[in-house]
Order: sequence, then structure tokens, then C-alpha cells
Amino acid sequence: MNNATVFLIDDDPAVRDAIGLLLSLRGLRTQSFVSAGAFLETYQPTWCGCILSDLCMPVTNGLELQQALRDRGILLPFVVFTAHGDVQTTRLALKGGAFDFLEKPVDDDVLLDVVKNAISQDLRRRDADDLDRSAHSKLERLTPREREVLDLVAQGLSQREIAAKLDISPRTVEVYKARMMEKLQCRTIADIVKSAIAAATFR
Amino acid sequence: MSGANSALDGGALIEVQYFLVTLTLTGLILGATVAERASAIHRFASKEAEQRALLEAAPDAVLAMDLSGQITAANDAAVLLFGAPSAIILGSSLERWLPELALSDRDERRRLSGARASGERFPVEIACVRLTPPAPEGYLLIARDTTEQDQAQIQLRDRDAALSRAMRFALAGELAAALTHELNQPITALVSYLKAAEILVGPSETHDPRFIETLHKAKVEALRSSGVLKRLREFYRAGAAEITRVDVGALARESLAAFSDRAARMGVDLQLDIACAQEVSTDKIHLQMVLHNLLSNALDALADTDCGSRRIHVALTATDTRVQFVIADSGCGVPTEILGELFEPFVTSKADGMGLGLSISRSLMRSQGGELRLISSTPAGTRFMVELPIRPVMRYVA
Repeated sequence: MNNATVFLIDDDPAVRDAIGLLLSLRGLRTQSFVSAGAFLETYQPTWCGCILSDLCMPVTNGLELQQALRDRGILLPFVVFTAHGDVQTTRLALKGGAFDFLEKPVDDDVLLDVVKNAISQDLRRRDADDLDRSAHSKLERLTPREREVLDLVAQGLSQREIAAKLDISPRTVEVYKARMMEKLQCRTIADIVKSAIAAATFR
Repeated sequence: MSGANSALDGGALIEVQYFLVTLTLTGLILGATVAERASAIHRFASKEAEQRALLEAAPDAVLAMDLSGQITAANDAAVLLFGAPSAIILGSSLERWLPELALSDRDERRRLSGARASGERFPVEIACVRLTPPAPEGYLLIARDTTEQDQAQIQLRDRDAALSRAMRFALAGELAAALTHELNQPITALVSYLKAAEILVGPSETHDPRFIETLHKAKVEALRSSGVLKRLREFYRAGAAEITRVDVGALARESLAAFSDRAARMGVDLQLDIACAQEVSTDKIHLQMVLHNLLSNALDALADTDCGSRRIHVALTATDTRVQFVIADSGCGVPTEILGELFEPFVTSKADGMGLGLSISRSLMRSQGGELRLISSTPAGTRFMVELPIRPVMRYVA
């Protein structure tokens, strides 16, 4: 889990210390914050792992922190860790996209399981983001003409039909298609279709 | 002789004159007496007619009895009260209608049970006086049916009792919730430290095997104490809402009416605007508690405001799905240092406050899918908003 970290936010120093100690003994990196504000001030986009946050805190409570994370596009999985077990707040937290809900005091095996699941979800999301990013950068290297050819090939048109549509010779279409496939590192029609779908999402 | 005669004549004349004067005077006196008598008779008759009319018009039953307790006069109200025609009432013994009353020389005023002609018993309040000369000797009794009054009082008492019971229950619930939160934090730390200690100690070859066992037992006990708190909390949460259709306009009027005396004493202008006639599925007592709490807070906030500008305004509006109360006062506002945690338990600006009112009120509204919010607070006034869904919201069960 490389540099994945559990970001522990709780206003109670004993809880921060004890949970931090327990997670580190179970082989997880942890970083503690005394408040939601303290977390938001030090946050770096490179951080990965998950947030384990109390709900009932002075100044900014857990639900408000959740909102702040959404506003800033911080996608770290949010695990609610509360001593309140309040049904309504639980519902709001889960509706607000919380990854899971843990009631204090918690069984350490359950805590570990939930936290590990949250971390692996974050890592999966990051991998998927990386893939998207590389597909995107490849697409950006295409000329407008090559891009047109990509879309039409993906629609299932033959070389001759594309030539008629773009009002160029089939021979020229073949050149564009070869250059496009090389830039996108495509070998088959299936690869082209995949790239076209990715292209559609970036348009 | 003539002198003697004349002297005699003179004497007789005087006598005649005396006689005439006396006669005139007597006549005058007599005339006056007759006139007086006639007017007295007239006055008496009109007085009696007036009194009779007064008796008949009286909303209360009026009865006259002789010394033996036999009824000698009864008005229309008495006929209605006992459900018997006056022919039966007149001449009957008072005991038949008011069996618990023993006539005595002492004037009396008390509540007892009466009997109608049908045999039905009913609560009645009576005042009884002993009549002495010059009135004809006997008793005069006034009786009033208190059935409705008693019922209204019972209803009022029941409502107050229900409200204060609900308030106590909510208070205990809020305390349990606050306690659970405050104690679960250290218990969480304790449980985690104990587990960490188990891990730190390592495999059992190097030390007494009872060591890990002991740590484990300690952890189980810590978890048990948290379980006790949880059950305590759930017990109070189980005192769940009783959802009925509630006319929120009528409820608002009722809630304001309960404060009208206090508002009048403080010179507060208490206003209610109802912009919707709406029934809402909610727990009536819970909503009553919330409005009660907010109005009481509003009045407290006005204590330091100039008498001329003490105002409380309650507005009730509705959308398709929700009803909304806005409670605005012209008081001193919420102190800024507690503004951020106004709805937390034990937060208060009042010297003798527990700081649970708003916290309880918010919990109550949220448990029904509603909301309680502070809209604004300035030194010139505070506005709170209570919102409830018109249709019931299924409570999410964890």
C-alpha cells in the first residue's frame, strides 16, 4: 500500500493517540489532525489513503467537512467514526457519499477491515485516473483530421465511405488512419473503438 | 252678657279654629301616609317583579326552601339542572336533588354531587344561605353544574401532564445521548490502548499467559460499559414519536395562547400570521414542545429590551411538501461566543439554563425528517426556523 495513509481527524487527543497507535501496530501509516480545519489547511493533492473522521466536533463538524471535501474535489474515501450513533446523521453522512460508518468504540478487526477497504478503493480510483490521463494525452497529439478519421472508423464506416464523407481520396484516409493508430498505439479496430469512447468522454 | 258671650264666643272660635287646624293637619298627614303607602306598595310590587325576573334570567339554578328543607321556589335554570318540571320540584325535599347537603345555620359554599330526575349524578357547585326575619325563615340555594368546567380542567391538566412528561423524557434522552458521546470517547481510547498493549506484548512464550488474557478481559469490560450506555440511549430513543394528523395552525394558536399572559405582563407584542391551513403528519406533543421552547426563549431574550419595542412574530407558511414556522423576536440576540455550538447540549446563555432546550428540539424535529435552524441573530433580534415534512418520513433504521 506504498504511501497510503489513514488521515485521522478527531478533537479528542486520547482517541487520536490510541487509534493512531493501534493502526500503526497493524502496519498502517497514520496522520492525526485535531480538527477538520487543520486537515484542510495541510491537505496535499498527492495524499492517498482514507479519512477516518469523528462527526461531532466543535467549529466544523464531520458533515460540514464532508461538504468542504466535495467542494474542493478531494476524493479521499471518508469513513465516519462517531460516538454518537445518531440515525439521522448517519443517514446524512452516507447520503453525502461516506465510504462507511463506524460506531465508537469499535472492534479493531472491523476498523482494520473498513480502513483497508477504503484505502484500496482510493488506490483503484487513482490507477483508473492515471489510465484516463494517459489516454487523454495521447488523444491530444491527434490532428483534427486524424480525430475525424478516428470517430468515423469507430462508427464502423469503411475506408471508401470515410473518403466520400470527408471528400478526400481513400488513399489519404489510409495514411491518416495509419498515423492515428500509431499515435494512439492501437493495433486492432477494438483498440480504436476504445480510444474513441475515451475521446468522447473528453470532448 | 254680651261681653261674656263674646268672651265665650271668642273661646269657641279659637276652639273651632284649633279643631280646623288639627283637622287640616291630620288630613294632610293622612293624605301623605296614604300616598306613601300606595307608592310603597307600588315600589314593593315592582321590586318583586324585578327580583322575579332576575331569578328567572339567572344562569344558575336558584331554590328557596322552608326550614324543613321543602322547596318553595325554583327558577327555570333549576328545572333544567335537575331535569324535572317545576311542579315536581316545588314541594319536594331538597335532599332528593342534593343528597350530600345537610342544611344548617351556617352559610355554605362547596362542590358536591347532585342527582337529576333521571337518577344521573353530576358535579355541582353550591352556595347556600340561611334566611332569617324579616325574610320568611328558610334557606336560599344557588347551584351550578360544573361538568363542562371540570372536563375542560381535566383536559388541560392531562395536556400539561403529557407535555411535561414528554419534556422530561426528552430531557433524559438528550442527557443519555450527551453522556454516551462524552463517555464513548474515552472508552474508545481505552479499548484501543488495551488492544495495542496486547499487540505490543507479543507472543505468550516470553511472559505469563494470563497477561494477554487480563488485557483482553479489561477490553471486554470497557466494551460492556459502552453497551450499557447504548442501551440507555436506545431506551429513550424508543420513546418514539406518535404520529397523527396535526392541524399546525391550531397548534400554533394554542402554543401562543399559552404564553399570552406572560407576554402581556412583559408588554410584549405577540403576533401570529398563518398563511396556510395545513395538516401535517407529526407528533403533536413533540412539535408543541419545540414551539414552547422557542417561544419561551424568545420571551427570555426580550427581558433586556426596551418595553416599547418588545415583539415576537410567528409566521406559518407551507410549500407543497413542507410547513415552516419562523419565530422572530426583537430581543438581544444570541451571544456570539455560543453561536457556533448553539444546538449542542449544555450550551446556554442563561444563568439558570441547562442548555438542553434547543438541542432536544433539534433532535425531535430531525427524528421526524424536519429541521430546526437559526436563520439570523443580531443585537436587534433573532429568527429561528422550524420545518417539517407534510407527509411522514420513514425513519431510517440503522
